[in-house]
Amino acid sequence: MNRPDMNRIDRITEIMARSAARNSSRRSFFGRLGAWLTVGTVAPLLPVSRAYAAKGPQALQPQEQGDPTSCDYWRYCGIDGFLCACCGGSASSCPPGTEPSPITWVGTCRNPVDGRAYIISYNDCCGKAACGRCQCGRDEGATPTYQPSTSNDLDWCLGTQAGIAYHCSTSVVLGPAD
Amino acid sequence: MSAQPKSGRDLHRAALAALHGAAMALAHPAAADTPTRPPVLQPETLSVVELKDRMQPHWVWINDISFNHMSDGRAYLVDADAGTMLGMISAGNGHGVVQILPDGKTVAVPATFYSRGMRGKREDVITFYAIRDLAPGAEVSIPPKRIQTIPFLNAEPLTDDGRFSLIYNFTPEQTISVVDIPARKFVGEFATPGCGAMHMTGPRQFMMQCADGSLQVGQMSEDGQITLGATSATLFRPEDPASERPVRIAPARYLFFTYAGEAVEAGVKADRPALIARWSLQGTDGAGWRPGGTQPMAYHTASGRLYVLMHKGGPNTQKEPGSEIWVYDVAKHIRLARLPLDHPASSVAISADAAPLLYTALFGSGMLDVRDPASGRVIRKIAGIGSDLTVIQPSPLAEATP
Repeated sequence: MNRPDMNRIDRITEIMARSAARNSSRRSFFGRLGAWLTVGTVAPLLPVSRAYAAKGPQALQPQEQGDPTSCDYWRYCGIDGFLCACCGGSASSCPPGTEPSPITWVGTCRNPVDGRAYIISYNDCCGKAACGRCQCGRDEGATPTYQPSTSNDLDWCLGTQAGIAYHCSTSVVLGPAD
Repeated sequence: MSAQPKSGRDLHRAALAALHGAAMALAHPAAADTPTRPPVLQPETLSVVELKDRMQPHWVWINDISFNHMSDGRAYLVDADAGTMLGMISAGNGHGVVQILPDGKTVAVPATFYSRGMRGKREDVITFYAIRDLAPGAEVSIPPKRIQTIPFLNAEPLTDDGRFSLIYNFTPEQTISVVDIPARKFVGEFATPGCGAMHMTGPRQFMMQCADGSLQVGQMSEDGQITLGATSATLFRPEDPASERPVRIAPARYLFFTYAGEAVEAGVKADRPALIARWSLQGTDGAGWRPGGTQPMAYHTASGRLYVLMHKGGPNTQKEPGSEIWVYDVAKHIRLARLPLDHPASSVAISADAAPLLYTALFGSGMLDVRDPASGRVIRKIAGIGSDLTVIQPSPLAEATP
């Protein structure tokens, strides 16, 4: 393996580690504690009866273009599965009642708007039968199952509490690849 | 002037009379003869079919992964000579392969179930089915870690003598579960860090593919314990990995193929992985073509011929179905024929007997095509076989039994 490849893998590892740190551990605990403190402080000032605010699917970022319900959307370059954007979620949100897989494989796709390559995490949403809509297989950079960190043939729901029931696939931007 | 036209009601009445006459004539064809009626149908007793006690040469198992409803995986058994479905096994979530015992009388089916269908408590088991009745028999519980993937044969192989079952686990830690088949007993779980897929190379030996592009030997003891053996140098480049779906071309030798179409023969010599030959599936005139599909290759041992699903395409098309089957003489590394297909196929297999049948299926079609291996011509199509067909497993027996 040559040096540029090593650099890329180092970069992927670094970004994944940062992402994991964002989503777990002490920082996450304090984040949650902070949120509870905020609610505890503000709640008494709010009207007693409030409409429940739905948490909609995360939208595209401003510097993106394309249709996330279409297989040719740029983030899907390495995907193989049902697009969560067609199943009640989005490219970076799971549909209601499903559980995001905590571990998964990553690919690298180029955003046509800014020309940059980004590391995309193809997390599965789990716990219900297959969505069955918008099946999309593009497979860029996908490897066999014995190279799991870059294989899209594996059911990545294996890390969830919900078990292995695969519902659909997301495509979450982790960061620039270059 | 012609007669007054009849009213609509008159016409209707006349038509009814004519129909009545015709019906009477049918019911009593010879009114003058003594009326004879066929004997009354006899009351029946509902029965259940039993099959022959072992697989016949042209019986074949087909995996339906049921991609849109994966808790409902199925293994279909069909008779390719008669073009009929013989029976089915319900094989749970993410159905992989059936393990056909060498005598062809029993299949062991590794499967995953949840207590509430798609959720609840996970349970992985190997269930034994006699070919004669295809009914679930003895079961062995195994760790609930079976790899969940697009099925391939050597994720769950048997030793050649049928003594042990090996199950590829992925959690994402990679391990192998071993089950003693005659004892119907779980033996143990063995770590295989960085490597997966078990390609049998001897009575108690197999070869695994590793993430760094090398091959590693696994050795088994007579009581089913696995120890890791020698590892090869890197044989496959990261940018052109080998599929985990090679074919066995000799007892201790496999023909691997890379996504770009390189054939790599490797095996085990003196307990070490050994590279034997490298050659190109494209040859001198096949540029722009690649192997692809979910079961892209089949090898017929008796004739030494290799059948490969090929499609026109570039990088990242390793899952594309083939529009042609290319036939090779493996010993000479030459292509013998190109067989265009009437429609694409994602899986190919061939029966083991001297007058073989070639089988193809397209994922999503629910149809098994039975073909003449010399020409690729369709002999018959067996439709309505599930939905998402992946692995095709012909009978291991070459001789028919009464």
